[in-house]
Amino acid sequence: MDRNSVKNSIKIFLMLIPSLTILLSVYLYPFILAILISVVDSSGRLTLEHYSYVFTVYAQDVVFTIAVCALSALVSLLISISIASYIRLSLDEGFRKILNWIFRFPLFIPMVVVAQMMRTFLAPHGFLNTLLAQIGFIELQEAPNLFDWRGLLIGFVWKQTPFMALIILSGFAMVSDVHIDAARVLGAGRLYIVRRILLPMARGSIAIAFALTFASNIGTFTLPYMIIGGAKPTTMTVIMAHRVTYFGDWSIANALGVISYAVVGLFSIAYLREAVRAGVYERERV
Amino acid sequence: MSVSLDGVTKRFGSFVAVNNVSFDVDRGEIFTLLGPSGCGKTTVLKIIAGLFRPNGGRVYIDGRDVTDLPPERRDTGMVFQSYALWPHMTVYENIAFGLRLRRLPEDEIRRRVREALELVKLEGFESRYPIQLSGGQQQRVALARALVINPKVLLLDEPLSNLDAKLREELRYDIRELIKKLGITAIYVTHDQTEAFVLSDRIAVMDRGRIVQIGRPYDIYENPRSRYVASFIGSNILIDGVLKGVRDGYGVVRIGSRTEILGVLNSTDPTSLIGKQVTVVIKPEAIEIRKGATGLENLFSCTISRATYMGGTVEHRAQCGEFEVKFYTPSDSRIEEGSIVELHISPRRTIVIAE
Amino acid sequence: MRGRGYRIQHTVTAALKITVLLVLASWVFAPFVSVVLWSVARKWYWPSLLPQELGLDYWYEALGLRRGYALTAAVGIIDALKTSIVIALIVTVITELISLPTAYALAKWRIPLKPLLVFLFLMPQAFPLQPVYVNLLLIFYRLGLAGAVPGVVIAHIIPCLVYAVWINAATFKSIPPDYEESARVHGAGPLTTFFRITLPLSAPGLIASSVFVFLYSFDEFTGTFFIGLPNVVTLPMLLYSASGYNMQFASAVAITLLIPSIIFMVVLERFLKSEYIAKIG
Ligand SMILES: Nc1ncnc2c1ncn2[C@@H]1O[C@H](COP(=O)(O)OP(=O)(O)OP(=O)(O)O)[C@@H](O)[C@H]1O
Ligand SMILES: [Mg+2]
Repeated sequence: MDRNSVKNSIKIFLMLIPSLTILLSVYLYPFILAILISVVDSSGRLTLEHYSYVFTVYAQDVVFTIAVCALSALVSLLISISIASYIRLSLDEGFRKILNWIFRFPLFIPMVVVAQMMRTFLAPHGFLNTLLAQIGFIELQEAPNLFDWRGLLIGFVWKQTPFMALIILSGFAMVSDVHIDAARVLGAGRLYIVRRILLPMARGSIAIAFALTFASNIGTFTLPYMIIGGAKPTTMTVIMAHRVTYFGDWSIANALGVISYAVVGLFSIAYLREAVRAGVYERERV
Repeated sequence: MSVSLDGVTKRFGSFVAVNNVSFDVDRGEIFTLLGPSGCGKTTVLKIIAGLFRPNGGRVYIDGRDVTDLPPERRDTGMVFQSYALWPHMTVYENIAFGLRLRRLPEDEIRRRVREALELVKLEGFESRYPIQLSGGQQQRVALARALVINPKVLLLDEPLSNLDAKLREELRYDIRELIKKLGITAIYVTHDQTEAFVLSDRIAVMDRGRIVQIGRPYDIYENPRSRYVASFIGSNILIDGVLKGVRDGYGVVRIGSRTEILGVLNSTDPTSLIGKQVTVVIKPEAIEIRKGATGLENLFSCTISRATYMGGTVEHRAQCGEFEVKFYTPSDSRIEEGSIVELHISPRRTIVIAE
Repeated sequence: MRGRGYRIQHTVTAALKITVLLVLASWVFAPFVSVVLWSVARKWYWPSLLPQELGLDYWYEALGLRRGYALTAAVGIIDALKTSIVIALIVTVITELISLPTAYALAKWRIPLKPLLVFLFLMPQAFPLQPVYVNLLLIFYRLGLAGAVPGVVIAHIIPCLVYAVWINAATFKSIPPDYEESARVHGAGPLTTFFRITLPLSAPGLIASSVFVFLYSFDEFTGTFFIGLPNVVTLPMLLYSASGYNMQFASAVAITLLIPSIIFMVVLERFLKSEYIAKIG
C-alpha cells in the first residue's frame, strides 16, 4: 500500500471519528442492547419468554399500534396526494401560492404542542365537538370521547400530512410539464392525469413518503402518551414507558422495542424496494 | 378551413411571446411555422392545442371557436419536441392512452394501436418501454400516439430536432408522405428551413412573436419580402444601398460611391422609392463565373478572398470592389485564393427590398 | 366574446377553489385556534363555542408575574424556558462541530464502506428512538448522567447529529468543486480553502441546519422524558405535566413553545425548500 493512500485513510478516519464515536456509543450500543436484553432472563440465559409475555398480554396493543399507524399514514397519504396534485396541476398561480402556504403550517408545530392542541381540540366538550354541536351534527350531552384511536389518527394526520405532501410534491415536480401536457392534449382531465401519469411516475417518492410516515408514527411516544395514556388499547411506545417507569422492567420494554424495530424494518424494506424499482424511470427524466 | 387564428396574442408578464398572429390553414394542408429559437413557435402550437389561453384573439378549429375550450375537448394530436412519451408505460400503453380516454372497446383499441404501429413501421414493439427505444423510434411512437385518435389537426413541434442529420433527412419525407396519405391537417414547427421547404405546402416565417411572411416554399425562397426573411432564408448576401432609378424593369441600386447593381424591385410604384435606402439580396446560386464576357449588366471583377472546402462543394468568398459575395462551386472547380474572376450576378434572381 | 358556458364553468371552478382553501384552512388552523383560546379563557362553559370571559390571568401566572391560585407547578415557564434554551444552544454548538467534518467527508471524498456508513447515519431516522433512550437511561444511571443536563444533551444529540450531517453534506455537495479547485490552484492550502471558500459559500445551509437542530432540541420530548425527568424540566416536560391538571396553563406553555418555531419559520422559509426535505428523507 502506498503512503498516499495510508495518509488518506487516516485523514478520512479523523474526520469521521467524532460523529462515529457518538453514534456507536450512545446510539448503536443501546440499540443492540435492546435486542440483547429482550432475549435473556434474570439469570442471564437465552429465552423468548419476554416475547411470549408480550404476545399474550399486549397482542391487542401491538395490533392496535400497527393498525392505527398504518391507517393514519394512509389517510395522510390520500390528503397529501390531493394537496400535491392540486398544487402541481392548478393553473391559477395565486391559488397555488395560498395553498402552498397553508398546508405547511403544521410542519413547524412540535409534536408535544400538537398533542396539547388535540387535547383541547378533541376533548368531550372541546372545540371540535362544540363546533359540531353548533352545526347540529352531534348532541353535546352525549359528545363522543375522541381520546382513543380517533384522536391519535387525527393528531398523526394533522402533523404528518404536510411533510408527506412536500415529499410527494417534489416527486410530482420531477414529472416534466410536457408529460402532463401530452396527456391533456389527448383528452385527459385532472383526475385521470393524477391517476395515470403523476402517481405512477412519482411512485418512488410516494413509497418513501409512506414508509417514513409510518415509521415515524410507530416510533412516536408523545402523542399517544398524552392522548390515550394508559387507557386500553394503547400504543407500544406508551406500554414501553409504563414498563420502565412503573415496573422498572427493561425486558418487556425492550421486547416491545425490538418488535417495533422489526415492524418498521420489514415495512421499510418492502417500500424502499418499490422506490428503487421506480428509480428505473429516473434515467429518462434527467 | 380547418384551423384559423385571428389576431392571437400571448403575453408572459410584460413579455409578448406571440403578437397578433393570424393565419388560415386549409383542410389537408401542411402548414409550417418557421423561425429562430425563441420566436414563439411552440407558444402558437400550445395555444392551438389549448395548453395556453391567449391574452387576445380567437382560435377556430373546423370553423368552431375553441378559444375557451380546455385541451381535452379540442381533439388535436400533438407531437412534442422531446416526444414526451410516458416512461412508465409500454409503447402499446402510450399509444392506447388517447383511445382508452375515449372509452373504446378493448378489441378496437388493439386494432387501432396495431394499425398505428404499422403506419409508423414499428410492428412488434408493443411491449417495449420508451427507454428501450432509439430516438427515431421514440419519435415514431410519439407520432403514432398523436395519430391514433384521428385528430382534427396534427400539431408537430420540431419532431425531428433531436435526431441525427441523416435520420432527420430520411424522416422528413416519411412524415410528409404519411400526413398526405391520411389527408390530415398538420401544423408543423421547425427552425430548419430545408425541413420546412421539403415538408410544407405553405410556410409562415416568424420573427419575435410576429408572422412576417406567409407563402409557398417557392415564394418564400425566391421572393423574400423583408430584410429579415431574406437574411433568415437560404444563405443570401445582403447589401445596403440607395435606389437610383429603374432600368429595363430592374431597380438600379447604388452601393458605396461607384458601384451599381440591378435587381428585381417588388413594388407597385417603383419610382416612389427612388432615392430611398434599399437592400439588395444576392443569392449564391445567382452568381456565375464568366470568362471574357463584356457588355453584360451586373458583371463584376472580383478577387477570391477565401475558398473553403465544405465536402462536395467549395464556398468561395469574393471581394468585388465595394461589396463582398459568396458562391459555391463543385469541389473539382475550386478557384485559388487571390485569383481574379469575372462574376455575373443574374439581375432576374436578385431582389431589391425597400424597408 | 366569452360564452355563457365558459362563465358558468369559471364560477364553478372558483367556488371549488375557495371551498378547498376554506376546508384546508379550517383543518389546519382550528386546533391552533383552540389552544390559543384555551390560553386566554377565564370562563368557558359548554355549550358555548367561544369563552365567556377572556383574560391573561394564566399568562401572568405562567410568566411568574402574579401568584397563581390554581397553579401548583414547582417550575414556572421562565425557568423551563431557560433550561430549554441552554440545552438547545449546547446541543446546537456540539452537533454542528461534530457534524461538519463528517458531512464534508461524506460530500466530497470517496469513503470506503460508504453504504454501511450511510445506513448507520440513516438508522436513527428510520427506526424508533424510544428503545434507545430506554436503554440509555439504564446506562446513564450507572454513569450518573440520568436526570442531569449533560445526559439530556447527549440524548438530543443523537437525532440532531443525523439531521445535521445530512443537511450539511447536501450543502457541501451543492458547492461546485470549481471554486475550491481554483482556490487550490491559486496556492491556497486545504484548510485555508475550507475556511475562506467552502465555509462562507455553505453558510446558508449551515445556518439552516443549526436552526433545524436548535428547534429539534427545543421541542424534543421523548429523550428528555426518559433521561431528564424528574430533575431536568424543559418546556415540553412542563407542558406535559401541566396538561394533566390545568388546561389553560398547559395551553399557555404550548404557545410559548411555538415562539421560536414561528420566529425561525420566517428565517427558515428561505432555506426550507422541498429538495432539502426530500434529501433529509
Ligand atoms: N411558460 C412560459 N413562461 C414564460 N415565458 C415563456 C413561457 N413559455 C415560453 N416563454 C417565452 O416565450 C418565448 C417564446 O417561446 P417558445 O417556446 O414559443 O419559442 P420557440 O419559438 O418554440 O423556440 P425554440 O425553437 O427554442 O423551441 C421565449 O422567449 C420564452 O422564453
Ligand atoms: Mg419550441
